[in-house]
Amino acid sequence: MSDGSEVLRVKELRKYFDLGVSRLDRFLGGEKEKRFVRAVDGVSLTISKEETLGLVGESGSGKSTVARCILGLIPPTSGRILFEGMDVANLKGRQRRLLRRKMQVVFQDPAGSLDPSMRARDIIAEPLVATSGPPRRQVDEAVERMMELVGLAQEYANRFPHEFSGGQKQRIGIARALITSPEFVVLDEPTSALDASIQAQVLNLLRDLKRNLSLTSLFITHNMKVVSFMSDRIAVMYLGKIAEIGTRDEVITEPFHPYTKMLIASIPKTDPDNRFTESEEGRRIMEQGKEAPSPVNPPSGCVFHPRCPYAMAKCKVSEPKMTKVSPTRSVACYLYGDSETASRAM
Amino acid sequence: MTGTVLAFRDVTLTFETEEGSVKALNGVDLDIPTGKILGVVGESGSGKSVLALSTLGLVPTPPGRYGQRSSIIFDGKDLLRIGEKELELVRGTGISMIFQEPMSSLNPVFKVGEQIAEAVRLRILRKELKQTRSVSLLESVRGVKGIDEDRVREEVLEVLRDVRISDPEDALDRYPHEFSGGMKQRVMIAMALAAKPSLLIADEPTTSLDVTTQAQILSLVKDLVLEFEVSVLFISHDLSVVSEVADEIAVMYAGRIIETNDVRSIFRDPKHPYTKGLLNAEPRLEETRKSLESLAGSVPSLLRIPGGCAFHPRCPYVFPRCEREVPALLPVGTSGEVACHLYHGEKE
Repeated sequence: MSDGSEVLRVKELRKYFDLGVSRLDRFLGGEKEKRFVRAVDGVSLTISKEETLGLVGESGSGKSTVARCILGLIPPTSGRILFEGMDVANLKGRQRRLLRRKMQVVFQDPAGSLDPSMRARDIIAEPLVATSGPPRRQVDEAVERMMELVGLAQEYANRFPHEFSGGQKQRIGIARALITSPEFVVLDEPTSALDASIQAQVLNLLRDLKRNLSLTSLFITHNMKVVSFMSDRIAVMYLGKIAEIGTRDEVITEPFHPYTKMLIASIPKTDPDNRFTESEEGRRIMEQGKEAPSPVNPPSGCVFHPRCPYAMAKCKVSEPKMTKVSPTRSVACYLYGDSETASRAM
Repeated sequence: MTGTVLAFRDVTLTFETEEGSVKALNGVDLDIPTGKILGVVGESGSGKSVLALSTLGLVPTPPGRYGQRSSIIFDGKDLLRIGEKELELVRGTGISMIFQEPMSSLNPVFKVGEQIAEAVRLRILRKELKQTRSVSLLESVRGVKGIDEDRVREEVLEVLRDVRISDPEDALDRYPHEFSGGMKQRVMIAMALAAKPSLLIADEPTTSLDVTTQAQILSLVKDLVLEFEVSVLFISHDLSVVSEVADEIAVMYAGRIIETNDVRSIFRDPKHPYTKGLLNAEPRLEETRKSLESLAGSVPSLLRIPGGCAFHPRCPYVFPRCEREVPALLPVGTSGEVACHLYHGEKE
């Protein structure tokens, strides 16, 4: 488990994508109102050493944008990302290369993230060669070690990506991420493209690696069951904001935020005697029939209020702040603490 | 009593490709019970989608080739042996289909109301006026001779209400891009039901949807089965999704049905080692296992299906007979069937 020292801190992260003025408005010459997608709108979180934080949310919740900002692939609109005390957005040259070595990523689509013209050994070696360029023999040894670690036979080293199955490709992706002995790994939906029996293999591998290598990671997924299996703590995102963050047990076994409750109630249960489609909560979700609105024009107040069964008058006008409800859990909801305790907790 | 709305009998389907014969279906025997939801579960490459397409004659032949003894019996006819004209009568009146991606299945340049109206007009044309000629979408927008347009509009509104679209009058005049993913899938379901089919085929209808939207669509499908008395073939890669809706389940592997049973028995007492493996591979919310029980290896390529039982290279209980002999799908216990040598005959 975590020894408590902080590896990553994200502070009030915002990322807006500029949609510009619509062509029609420009043509009409009327009001030229700029439109933005508020992909990430004020996200704060920390990840401690040897901890896996699961970031879960539906499409459009902003979870992948958070990951891209943390990796320094896109600059944030505002807010700060501190990795071991360094601000990720302002790194240049050598320091940036150092960051690349310490922070790695595994992507969702194993087919799309491996260069089809490179051999497996070169794909796995690339981060090491690009960031520090050790002698050839050292690289070869590292590649061998990584292939063994992720369960790929050495004779596959000279094969090209198309010769591997989906699960094997993802193993290559994991070997590539781990070859620089990173201090922090972002896993962005690493098993979402895989079949059920293969997903189990890769999840087991990731759990073993986490334990054996004491990895610190951010695990992003839309799948509640997967996040529950992988995470020490879980953050639930909705429309660019964190609704609830707490330990795995807190969030999964006793969700507080109405959105977390809805998410968990919506999961197909693999138990024909306990179907959500026949449960009270399931009927309510069905009858309410609403889907997540667009992040272009998010609702006022609490962004979840149009779908919330407990919505009160103030939920429509003002946004609930993150409120600490236990030493390890915070919730952004007026049902738990008022806004005064909230501002104190911040 | 319950009968069978559609029966697959020894359906084999091979595609000739440059790399060799792809054996997509390898002797499928399966009955879809009347008035029930049959869930077909399989991983990618199991043949589940091509099974669905076969019922509507949507597999091009060539390159596809059905076996000599293969048949798909619906309404007393063998769908593999009737002509295109007769198939036209079945499509969209006897059997309707909902696809995985509602965004690419709806026509982006026609209003939603027009697209549903097309299904209504076709049904009236086929079932009531007994005409088999095809109608282009454009023609059906202008109106078809002999069809009362006020009645068509009423029926479109009704079916939109049936799929719980809150403001059907408003929805009529909208284009597909104005709808969310879940709303588009509701429109697809409305189109399928407008034909008043006896069999609805749903091929991964919720796979591209978010989990809260999926919950809504699954509940809707279940309600509609009762309201419309339609039978459903529900195809999915996700056991847990199928467990929510299906009355009976068939598990597919490498182009064959390897186990069938009612939904409770499959989840309580799975027989086939592959079904067991799939169930154990699924992470569960409530428990905290140290590791998942995973099946070794991966799904075989349909170009090179292993001899004997296709699952034997991955099976933890494999014995010599499995490598030589394909196990037949035979009854086991009180309700189910399984294709596994562990349950039938001598182990050696």
